This record gives sequence, structure tokens and C-alpha cells, in this order.
Amino acid sequence: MKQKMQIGFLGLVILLMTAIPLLTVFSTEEGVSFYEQRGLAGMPVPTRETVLNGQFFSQIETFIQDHIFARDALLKVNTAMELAMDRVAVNNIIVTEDNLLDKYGFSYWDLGYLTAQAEAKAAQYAQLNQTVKDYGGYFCYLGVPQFTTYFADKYPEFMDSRLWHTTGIREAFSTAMSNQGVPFINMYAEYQSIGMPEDYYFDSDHHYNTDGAFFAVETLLAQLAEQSGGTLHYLQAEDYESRTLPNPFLGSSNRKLYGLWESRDRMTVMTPKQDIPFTRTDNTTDGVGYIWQLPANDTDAVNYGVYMGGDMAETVIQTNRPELPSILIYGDSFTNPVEALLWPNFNETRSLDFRYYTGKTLTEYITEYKPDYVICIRDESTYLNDVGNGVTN
Amino acid sequence: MVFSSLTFLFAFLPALIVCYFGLARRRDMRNWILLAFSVVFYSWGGWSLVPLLLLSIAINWFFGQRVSVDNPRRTLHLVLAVTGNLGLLFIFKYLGFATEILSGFLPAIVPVEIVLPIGISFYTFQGLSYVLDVYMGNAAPTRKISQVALYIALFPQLVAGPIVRYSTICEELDTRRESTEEAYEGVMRFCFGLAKKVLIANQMGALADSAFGQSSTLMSSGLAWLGVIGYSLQIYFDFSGYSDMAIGLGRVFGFHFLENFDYPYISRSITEFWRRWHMSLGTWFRDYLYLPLGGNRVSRWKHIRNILAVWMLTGLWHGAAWNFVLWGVYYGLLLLLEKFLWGRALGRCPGVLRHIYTLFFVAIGWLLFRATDLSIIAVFLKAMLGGAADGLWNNHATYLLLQYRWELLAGCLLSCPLFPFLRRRLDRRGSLLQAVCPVLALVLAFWSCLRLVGSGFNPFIYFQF
Repeated sequence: MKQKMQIGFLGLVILLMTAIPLLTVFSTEEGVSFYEQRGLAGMPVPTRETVLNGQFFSQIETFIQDHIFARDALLKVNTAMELAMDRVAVNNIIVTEDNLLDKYGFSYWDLGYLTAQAEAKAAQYAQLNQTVKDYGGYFCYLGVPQFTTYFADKYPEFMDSRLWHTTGIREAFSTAMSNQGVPFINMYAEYQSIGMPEDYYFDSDHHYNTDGAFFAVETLLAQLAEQSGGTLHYLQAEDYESRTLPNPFLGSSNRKLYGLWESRDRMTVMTPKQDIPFTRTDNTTDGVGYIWQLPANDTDAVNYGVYMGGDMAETVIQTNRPELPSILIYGDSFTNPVEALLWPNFNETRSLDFRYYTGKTLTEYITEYKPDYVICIRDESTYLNDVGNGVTN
Repeated sequence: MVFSSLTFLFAFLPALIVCYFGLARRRDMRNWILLAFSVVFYSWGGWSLVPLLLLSIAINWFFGQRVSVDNPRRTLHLVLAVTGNLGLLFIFKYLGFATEILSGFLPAIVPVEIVLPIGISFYTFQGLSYVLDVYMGNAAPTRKISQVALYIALFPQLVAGPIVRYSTICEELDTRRESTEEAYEGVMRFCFGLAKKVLIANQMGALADSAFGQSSTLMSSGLAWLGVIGYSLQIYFDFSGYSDMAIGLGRVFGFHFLENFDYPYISRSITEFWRRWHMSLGTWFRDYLYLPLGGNRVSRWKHIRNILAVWMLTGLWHGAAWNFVLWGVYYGLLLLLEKFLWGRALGRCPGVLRHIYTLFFVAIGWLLFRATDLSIIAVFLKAMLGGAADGLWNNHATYLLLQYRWELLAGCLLSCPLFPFLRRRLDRRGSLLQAVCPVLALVLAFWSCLRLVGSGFNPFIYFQF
């Protein structure tokens, strides 16, 4: 009996140890990891140098780790076990009852440097503002809060939301922009003025949702209308048809938990009640027939990519109504829902994302198209950055 | 290659098992297969490391035949063998440190930078063990270089021990017998060792890294203690887990390595701690250095000299850095104090106090071991004694305590001989034990594999030695 059990145990171990590599070799190859949103490691090619220094062999380890049989399922089970252990943070995401939040370290630093940095950055925007003004356009910077700032009070009291840092950046930058006379909308203050409604940001994603974005659009359009002297008319909330998709929503933070967190998030789609024909061109490709990229059925998970189909280097939406103004929006992914809500109010809506767009400089682009409005949309963590959409010329 | 890697578990090991048990019947054929796989195992760190290992094998094989009792010039050959082994160790491990010190006095000397070959301290000591065992008459020399090569390069203990004495396994190199029962016990031991490493040591490592990475201004007493306790658990479960895996793998292939750990954290004195911690290194130094120097059968001053010499070298064996020297001297002094000053008084204290005493000084020892510079030691010591810049407790400490509470709890419990206790209890109900152990081993191994898929590379602490 004892020996039979020992043989059975060893047989099972050997079976697992041999079956897993065989299944790995013969399973269908996947080039990307859906949840991690990255390409999986390719088969390393040995060179004399990498074989001698061992780098080739560590690359093999990475390759095996990326391609092992049932990898996604194994990662899911691992994450589920971590969640079951009620950790403060799982896969660097703080799991609370209501939200998933980014985990920061326990380091603090003097923010004295922010004032000088903010002044330098604001001076750049002042130049950009002047460039737009010179041809009769209007520049405005729409600053939106980071979700960690928005939900700072949701952090466990012993964890740091970095509110002190984002507040420091926001205050230094808004003061500097004001000193330079550059139009700046501080959405943090705007959301605060209405009590920071919890349902304006996703619980499991690091962006605002349709309601939050719509409030930002309303605030922006109100400012644009005011400076236009009342010539800019725009759609109100009642002019849109609002529909909440029944599909589960996979937010960026929940994606890091392999979608295992029970989320209340749903995607709301807002389209003008009035039919407004449009054409859309993405990266010079014509005929993109949608604004909201809707799922094929009611059960597939949707994500932030519903807004405009995700990040695009360049998008142009034309409605063929020359009596309306044109607008250029540039910024990170916070621009996507704004574009989806803003375009019905303009003849031409252009959008650039300088993380991907490499065609022209911002100044060249503006000088060429002379949009009536140039809007920069960024979240407060990136106010002082020069890279990507931090460009000002 | 490390045991706790997917490459080892799902490529190397199954391939070896198939070749070893499936393709070879004769002992010498099986030995050649083991040797070939051992070289592949070692070369995973880079082929540039292999020639040094082969040179070490060649030196020890060559001199091993010339130091046997019937050779009149055996002492000269022993000196040459020791010089050769320690010379290689000095060049690859200590030359950089030595030139760095010398450059402080002689600016003309430029510190050299040499990549430390994985496991050089372990295989050098194993090679020396062969020559010394033959010299002392504890083992017969072998003419087969393949046998010396297999002894030194045998993959389970090659890169991180335990340091297996030649006399322990010389017979098994030729006459061992693999069996189902041995393999079963070996695989179970391996699974438990893997779990100790992956499920506890790695998590405790993350805790320790976080605490040791904190700046002095944000250090609290609680954080410092958590960091040191976390590191104490990390190093124990990391190294004893590796030893369990090595011993388990050895049994699968018919070898019986001696135990390397015996629940050191239950010790009631520092002397006892070192009888239970890294026993293979302790006995190596005892038998090949301390006793030949005269041990305790000499004058008191020579006895003190012997203890300090052994412990300074023990510190240096672990690494070419001042903190390791300090760590070695620290233990040398503690052992001397126990031997000559407070040992008897300590023996009369209640057991709990003796445990606290031992754990406190061991924790301080690990602080010296872990810290990369003396300023960190100062910050931690001050914080541990209540003088932290960020008070007695802070948010960082709360986070680490909550985040790693399960591993801390498991680490503390499993540092005690809980498992042998349960085993004894369950032994009375034989069938229950038979059913529980393999299921538990499989569950823990599966859980460890999940972690390995989800985490990155996780080298063992003792690889750096």
C-alpha cells in the first residue's frame, strides 16, 4: 500500500513535469499578453557574448516564463490567491472596498523645486498661447485630476496617495499659468465645487468616466463660449442620448488584477440626439465610421478603448458645417472621451497624441491648420513634463 | 540555474530524470549523465564560468593522488593544493577587495573588478575537502577524474551547498542505490524546500528590501525591527530551503548529504545557534582549520586566537567586504564572551530569556550581514534601540506588517520544529500522515509554481558566496 502510494505520487510528479513542457511546446503560440498589455518575449538568439556571460540563458528563462502552458490561467489563480489573502496591495494595486488605487512607496521630498519648474513650463505655454493668439485663435489648458488625487480619501490611512505631491504641482502650475495670463481650467477645483462626485471617475481605471468627462467638456465649452462673446453654441446634456452598456468593464487597474476584482463600473455612451453626419480619419486613414467603439455583444468586457477606439496619433473628425469653428485637442488618453463628446459642436475636430504622432511639430501643425481653439488636456501628474504631450512648440 | 526556476523544474529536471533513469542502467553511465547535466546546470550562469570550475577539478584531482598517506612528499603537495585552491579563490573573490584597500595606501594601485564566479566558495571548499580527506586518511584517492568532477560539480550542492565532504559521499559515487522510497522522500523534501524559498523567503526578501531601502529620516523603530526580522526569516528560509532542495534531489539520485540546518532560531545561546546554522560550513572550519590549529587543547590565548581566526575567515568566506569581516569578528567575540565570561550565567537563566538573548544578537548579526555600508548599520541600530528619526512606529511599518502578515506568521511558526512535532503526532495515525504529506507537498509545489510564473528571477542569497 505504502509503496503503491509512493509510486503514484512520483508518477504524478513526473507526469506534471513532463506534460507541462510538452503542452507548452505544442500549445498555440500567443505573441502578446492581453492583461499585461505587452508583447511576450521572443525566442532568444544566442551570440558568443550572450552565451559566455549567461545573458542568453536568462533570456531563455524569461521566454519560458512568458510562454509556459496556461500562463494566463496560472497568473489569474496566483492573483486570486493573493486577493484571498487580503493583502493591502496585489500586483502593486491597493485593493479597497470601493476602488482600486495605485500603490506608492513611502518616500517624501521637498517640493521647493516645483515653483521654478512650473514658472519655466508656464512661460513655454505663454509662448504657445501667443502663437495661437497671433492668428486669432484661442488656447486653453484643461488640467484634470489624477484618479489617485480624486480618490485620495479612499486610501487606507497608512498608505500614501501622493496628494501632497499632486497638490504641490497643481498649485505651483496654476499660479504660474495665472501669472503668465495663460487660460487654465483647474478641473480639480471644478470637481471640488460640486463635491467630487464619486461616480465621475471609474473605480477600477485611472481615468474619469463619461459623466466626469462630460462635466469637463461642459466646463471647457462654457469657457470657450464666454471668450467667444456668445458666438459659440454647444449641445447641452439634454441634447445627448445616454446609454449604459450592460457589458462588464475592464479598467486599467483591474486589468492588473486579471479582471478578478468585482467592479461596479459600467461604460456610458453619449451620442447627440440629432443626427450629425461626420467623417473620421485616423492617422491619414479615411473611413473610420465610429466615434464610440462599441462591443459586438452585451457580454464581452469593454474598456477605456470604447472612447474613440483608444489612443491615436492623429484623428480628424469633420462634420462639413463651415459655419462652426474648428478645434485641436492634444494630450494623453484623458483626451479620448473629451473628443467623443466635443466633436458635435465643431466643424472640424483634430486630435493629436504626441506620444505617437511624429509628423509635424505642434507649432507647425497649428500654423498649418490654424484651429480656432487649441486645447491641451493633461492630468496633474504630467503638468511639468516636457516629454510626449508636454511639448509646447 | 536555480532550483526555483521554471527552466529547472520543467526542462532541466525532467530531461535529467528521463536520461538518468530511462536511458542508463550502468552506474558509470548514470554518473556521466549526472556530470554532463551538472556542467549544463553550472554553465547556465555563462560559459565563461566553466573553465574555472574545470581547473578547480583538475587541481584537486591531480593533487588528490599525491597527498595520500603513502606519499613521502604529500605535505608539499597538500601545500600546493591548498595554495592552488585558495589562490583561485583569492583572485576571483578577494583581489578586488584587496586592491581597493591597498589603493587607499598606495595610489599607484588601481582597484581591479572581477566578476565573481557563482558558487566559487562552495566548490573550492568541496575541492579542498577532497584533498584534505585524502591527506588525513579519511578517504582513498581516486584515479578517475570523472569521480572528482562529479563530487565537486554535482549540481544539487554545486552553487550553494551544503558543503558535502568527500568522505561523506565517496562510496555513494560508485555504489549508491536509487529506490522508490528514497525518490519519494527526496521529491517531498524538494517540494517543501521549494515552498520555503518561493512562498516565504521571497516575500520576506521583499519586506526586508523595502525596510532597508528606507531613508534614515523616515526610519521608525518598528520598521527597523521588521526589516531585520524579515531579513532573518528570508536568509533562513532561503538557505535552508535551498539545502532542503539539494538534499531532496540528492536522495532522488541516491546520495545522502548531511543536514545543514537544525532549527537554529530555537537556540538558547550563540554557541548553540552555530551548531544548528549552516552546519556544513561550521564543521568544515572546525575539522580543517580549528582542530588542526589546536582547537581548545592549547593555551587560553591560542584558543582565543583560534576562535577569532576561524570566525574572521568565516566572515570573509561569505564575502569580500568589511561588513562580512565585522560580522565574523562579531560572532567570534560573542562566542568568546559566552565561553569565558557569561556562558555559565546564561545557562542558569530561564529558557525564555536565553531565547530572547540569542535572537536579539542573531538579529543584530544579520543586520551587519545585510547592510551594505556602516552608516546603514548605525541607522538601524539606533532605530532598533528606540532612537529612530520617525518615531517608534510609522505607516511604512504598518503597511509591511499587514502586507506580509501571513508570511511573517508562517516564518515564525515554521522556524520552530512544528513540522517534526506534527509528524510525530501524526505518526501514531500512520495512514493519515501518509496521505497528508504528499498532498501538502503537491499543493505547496503548485502554489510555488504559480508564484514563479507571476514573478521574475529570484536568485538565492547564498549564490553570491
